[in-house]
Amino acid sequence: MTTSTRTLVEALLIGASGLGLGLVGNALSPAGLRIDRDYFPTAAAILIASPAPTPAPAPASHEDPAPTGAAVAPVSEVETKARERLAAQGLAAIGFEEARSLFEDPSYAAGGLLFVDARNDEEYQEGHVPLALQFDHYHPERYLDAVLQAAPGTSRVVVYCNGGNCEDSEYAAATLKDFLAEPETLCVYVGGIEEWRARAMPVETGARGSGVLQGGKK
Amino acid sequence: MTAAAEPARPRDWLSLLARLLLGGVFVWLAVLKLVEPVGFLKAVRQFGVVAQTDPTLLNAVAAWLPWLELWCGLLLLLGVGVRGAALLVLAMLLVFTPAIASRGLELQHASGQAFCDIAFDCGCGTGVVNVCSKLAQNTGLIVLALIALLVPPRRLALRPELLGAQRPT
Repeated sequence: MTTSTRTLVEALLIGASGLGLGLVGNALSPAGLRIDRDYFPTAAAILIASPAPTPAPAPASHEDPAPTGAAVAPVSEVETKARERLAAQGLAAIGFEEARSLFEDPSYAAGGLLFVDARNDEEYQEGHVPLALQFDHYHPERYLDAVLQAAPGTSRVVVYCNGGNCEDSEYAAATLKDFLAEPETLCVYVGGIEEWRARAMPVETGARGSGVLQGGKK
Repeated sequence: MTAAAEPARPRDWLSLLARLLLGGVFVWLAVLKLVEPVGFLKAVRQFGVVAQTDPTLLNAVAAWLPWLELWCGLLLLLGVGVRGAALLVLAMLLVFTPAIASRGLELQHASGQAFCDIAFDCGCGTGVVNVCSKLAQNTGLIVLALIALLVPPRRLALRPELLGAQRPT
């Protein structure tokens, strides 16, 4: 056997054993992916009844630079595309002013409205909309029950992620749509936490209800 | 005469250095991906190297590739099946490096920024990286993989060839 042939056979053996290791390792790892799951679901378009608004144009003041890493294209263009994707799925999009209005609504603190943070643990702990529930749709088994317990009776369920190119809020909303008894209450705050912070709105760090707030207008 | 008894030649040390560096980097990057596989899953999807119409294939690639990287990295560090492992590493680099360049060009087109000003999370495990830095790093890794592939391993290798007679080291 020539050296080239031996190397090729060796590579095939290593590749096969490596994939076997991957099969076992992924199955045993707590962080492993479920091979049969669709992690990027798209919601089947349905008619969204009131009170969900029709997608509004992106706020004119979205001139902030895109967050590093998440987006490079101008935010307004990115958001416009996000709104188009959401509309195609029958999901409503809201802008900052409506998100703030819902946040400041007295019924929010009383549980009549719900903000849902679609990011991972680390990002959520670093800062989320005060009292927002976490729903990392990549791990629904950890978070779905809490959302399903809190959602009944709420007039709006506002899902957000980082904003910009972040699509996790869209996938989270598409996932929740299959589980919520009133999916028409779902909407996505497209600007996300980056815009929320940029507009000097308060964020809560640590666990939900920790009371540790950052930012916010004085 | 055994390899161990032979005087060390520069190419032996070059080969050793190449596979230790390459193996170390691959183990490190694989562990970062295995800790947070969702990030790598998003990157694989974003690169479009796997058909997005098939979630199973996408998930399998994202779930298993880091383990393959870990396996190859460990074999390179231990000096087991060195050329086979180097060939696989080279193949992976030759798939993902053009994908990173292509993604960088897409983002450049979308943003109008200079190519080397583009930074994004390439799913490589290290978070947001500058595209030119990443391409330079990958080029270096490709060179190391070629050295490990072409220069016979003779130093500190447990079983340099899986097939055929072994040279004691």
